[in-house]
Amino acid sequence: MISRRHALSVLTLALVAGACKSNGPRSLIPGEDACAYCRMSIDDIRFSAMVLTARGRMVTFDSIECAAAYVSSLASGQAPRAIWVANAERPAQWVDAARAQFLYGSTLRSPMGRELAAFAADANLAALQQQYGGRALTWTAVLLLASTPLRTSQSVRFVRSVPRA
Amino acid sequence: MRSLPRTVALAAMLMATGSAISAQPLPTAQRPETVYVAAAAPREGGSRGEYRQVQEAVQRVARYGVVVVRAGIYQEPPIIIAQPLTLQGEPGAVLDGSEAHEILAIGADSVTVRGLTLRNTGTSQATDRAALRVVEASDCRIEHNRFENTLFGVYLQRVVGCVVRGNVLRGRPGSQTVTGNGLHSWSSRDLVVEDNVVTGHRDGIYFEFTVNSTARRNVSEQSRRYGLHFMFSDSCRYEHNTFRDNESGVAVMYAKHVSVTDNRFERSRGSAAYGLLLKEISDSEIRRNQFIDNSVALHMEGANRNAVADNDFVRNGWAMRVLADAQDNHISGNAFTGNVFDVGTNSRQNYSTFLGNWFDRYRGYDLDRNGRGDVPHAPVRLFALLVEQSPAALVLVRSMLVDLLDVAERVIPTLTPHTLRDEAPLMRAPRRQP
Repeated sequence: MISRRHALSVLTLALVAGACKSNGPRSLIPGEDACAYCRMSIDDIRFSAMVLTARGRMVTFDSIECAAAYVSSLASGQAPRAIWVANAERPAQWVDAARAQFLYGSTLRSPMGRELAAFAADANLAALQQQYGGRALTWTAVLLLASTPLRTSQSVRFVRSVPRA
Repeated sequence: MRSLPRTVALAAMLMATGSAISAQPLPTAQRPETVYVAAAAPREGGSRGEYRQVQEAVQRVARYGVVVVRAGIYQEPPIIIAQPLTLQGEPGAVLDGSEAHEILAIGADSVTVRGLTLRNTGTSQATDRAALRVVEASDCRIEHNRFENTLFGVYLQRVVGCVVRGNVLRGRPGSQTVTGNGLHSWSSRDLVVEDNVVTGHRDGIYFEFTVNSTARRNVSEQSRRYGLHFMFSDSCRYEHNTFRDNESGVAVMYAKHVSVTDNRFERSRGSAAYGLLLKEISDSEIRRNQFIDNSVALHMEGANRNAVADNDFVRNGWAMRVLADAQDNHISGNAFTGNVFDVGTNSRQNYSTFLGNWFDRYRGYDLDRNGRGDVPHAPVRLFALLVEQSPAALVLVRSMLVDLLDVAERVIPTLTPHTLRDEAPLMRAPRRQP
């Protein structure tokens, strides 16, 4: 009898656990998922990011720029449980942001204009830098970057300095 | 403009596309003013200066000369234009990228491309492959061309003073295919983009880091994402355009001194779709536009000191959503007709002014007959606040209980932002100039 009740409770527990969402990142649906920071709908998933908040909510971003801005705007008690960024080379693959490698100002045009892309922890960054240009950054540096306004990018400076034809 | 970086950029582009054309023109004195290109063999006694390849012709013509492309299909490696000239297509002249590469690249000032059909660029995951690319040049004219089945249509990078006029652009068909943008401008200035029709691209028109430019009388529809999208593009004007059936509508982000007037925003529907999304836009004007049948017609977030005046909001889910971080906006002379929610917000605070708008929901009176209602109107329904908190509540939108709630809130306002009121709502819908 006891063993049966035990089996029942195990079953119930399994059902409850199954009903809960898993805490891993899910795949994005282009055109349906939107960025929680800039509100843009997510189209090009090469630059996307995902954050699991302190309260367990999964938040999606169209760009690493937006995810970094969102994370650095959080109050100290609200540090997210996890941050993932898409591997620009294999966009369906999520990489833990803290372990990912980043290129900033590369020829990969990210949605928010910093041309910021992420790669796997074991990617050959020197080779990627050769291919796409840009500066190598870590996630910590990306977060620091988030405190400067987006509008001060290289591209804006070019537009301002072109002499009138 | 310095020519060194331009050459480098073009060379890099050529390497990327795998072309090996030497762009060495003849000495100027020997070159004719007008040359012809024909895909078929020249007829008996065919005119002198007739070439079989466009690439050859654009190298052999005089500076500021004219290259006339006869009817026919030209499948060449990417064509590079490295001197000022006019490339004129006769009816039926088609440049075809064979689903494999870019088609035309311009790296010289004062180049005109007119009357051609450019098609079949194929797709690329790694690069923004474009049918027509202009690199670091000024004063180009891209007029009355057709772009069919292209990843990107026109791609302007670091361009000054170009006109893109009267083109028809169709993206790659099929809902699951990869698409690029129709008219794409990056780091450019003083552009005019007018009278184009763009269909089925990712963003119909995209301005990024593009300043002091105008887009007018364009039609942008069925975009996979935005009909018009611009970021970091200050001092631009958008007039008399029509945006319809775009999956996410129109997004105007991170810019100031933008003028959006006399446009039509129609049928943007979906959970992340906006007739017009304003994010971090300041000191701008949104005037005399028509917003019809959108999920959210006008969404303002981090938008400050803007004038939103004389617009018509007809049959939208939300006519306006003004978030609490939108400040000092002046909203007047607008007409709200048949919307589910006229105004939505996420806060009890409001830092914008509503004055002299017309609401079909207004139930006040006008005893002094000055055309303005004597009783203020609070355009935020209580239910709109509830939906903002829990979107799933939206299923109750037509229920009687919700109607009762709204009436009760109107009589004794407790939860809706009491500063978000129109103190002098119009008694009649404003009459618009035709």
